[in-house]
Amino acid sequence: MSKYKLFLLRHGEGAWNKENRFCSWVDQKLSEDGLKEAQDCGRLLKEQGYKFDLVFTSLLSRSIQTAWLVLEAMGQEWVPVIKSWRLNERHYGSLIGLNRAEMAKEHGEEQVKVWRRSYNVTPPPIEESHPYFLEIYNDRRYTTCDVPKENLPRAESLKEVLDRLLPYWDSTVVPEIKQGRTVLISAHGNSCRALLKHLEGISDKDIASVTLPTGIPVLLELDENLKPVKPRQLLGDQVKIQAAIKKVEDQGKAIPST
Amino acid sequence: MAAYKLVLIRHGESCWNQENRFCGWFDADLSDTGEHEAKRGGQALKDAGYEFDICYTSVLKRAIRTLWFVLDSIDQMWLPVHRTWRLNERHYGGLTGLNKAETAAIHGEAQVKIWRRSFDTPPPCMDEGHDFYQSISKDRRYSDLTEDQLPSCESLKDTIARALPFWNEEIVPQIKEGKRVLIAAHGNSLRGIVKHLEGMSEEAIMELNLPTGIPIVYELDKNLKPLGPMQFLGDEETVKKAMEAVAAQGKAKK
Repeated sequence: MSKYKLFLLRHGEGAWNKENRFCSWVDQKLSEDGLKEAQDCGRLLKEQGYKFDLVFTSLLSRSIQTAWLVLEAMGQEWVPVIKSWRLNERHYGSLIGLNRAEMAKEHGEEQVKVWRRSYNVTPPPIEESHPYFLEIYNDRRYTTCDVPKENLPRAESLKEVLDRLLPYWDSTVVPEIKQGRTVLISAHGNSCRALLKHLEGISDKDIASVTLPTGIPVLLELDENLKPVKPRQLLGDQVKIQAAIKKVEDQGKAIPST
Repeated sequence: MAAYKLVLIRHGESCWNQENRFCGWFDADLSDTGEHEAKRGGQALKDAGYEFDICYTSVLKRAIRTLWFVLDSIDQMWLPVHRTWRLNERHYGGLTGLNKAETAAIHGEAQVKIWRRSFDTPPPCMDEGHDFYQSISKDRRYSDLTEDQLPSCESLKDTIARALPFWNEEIVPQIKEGKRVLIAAHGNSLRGIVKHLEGMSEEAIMELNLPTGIPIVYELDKNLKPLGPMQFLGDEETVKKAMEAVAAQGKAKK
């Protein structure tokens, strides 16, 4: 018997998604298409009559922009929005900024596959010499986190994403859900996957094959212990959903056969 | 030497402003002009290199969206934002939705003049039969308000009386902790803050119309007393126009 409804949303396209580059903690805004994905998502949620009480986002602009556009389409701009680094995209370390082809060239296809698909292998950490190091670590937002800046990650496996997400989920999000609040989490591919793994009890091996399409709201219906009572539902027009799933899968295959 | 800097921004034109209708708690959206004003305000803050630590706004979309445009312009979308009904525009009660001509026709010019000139006479209340009663008084966003808190109409005095507790209890402590504050709100809720900061009389605050879409900067001493008059941010022409408009107000209405 479903007691609570939780919505997850992976933001849409940013400029680097188009170039197939790992954006990660670099703060890119949504592309025109990404903006449209968010607006479409909002319109859908409005049509289906959903009402949010609280929205959580990461500290990255693209997840915040997405949340704002969704709320705007629903006429729910007044709903509180809470932001945390703990919902940030997975930190890809030294792989940040590389596109999938460059990565395969530099490290070999097999190694890239391991980094992307394994649950607990961490990519090499980002170094001070990395072109995006200062852009990330000099950013003022990272002085406002609940851990000192020097303790923020320099690279993460998917497991490490869950390790830093779960305490936030438990201390901050769960109490809201248990008070009956309908929550939207507007976040990223890997932070959403990590949360799904936890909620649905997906194994370390099976999580590798779980990908969320962008801009498609995911509805989880949970019992009083926050266990899903049915499989996750991707909301909206099925044709559109299939196209979105295919788009994400094709991106994964975009490494030319080098 | 300023201990603190505070920035206020009054949202720009809403769709109902365009139609000259009393808006109040009706959740009208920004018109295209209003969006443009917000972006221009954001650009002014960006050009002047402003950084904030925390933002406050009302629960009405015209203020919230103004804030969003500003945060996007200055690349600080990650800032914490607190929304509160206490920063809402004044509640115009039974006048909500009426345009100026309709109002005069229904209530007479003399009565309208009284309401406009009075600090503490509220307009008629919005009762259950009012067109907007359901969509405003019963809106989910106000479900936490007690019966005493939820207005059915407000005088300017009433608006200020419910805005100031939020200023004193929530905003002031943040300022005193050194947080740089941005408030995006409405003409009358911002009047409450300005009246309080500058120790203005009731007559004086009723004469003051804050410019829209233009960031208003106060430099404050450690007791939160303004060190000088409010400053406007923007290109020379915009600022000059705003200053002249404000100066002319005091003189016009006698």
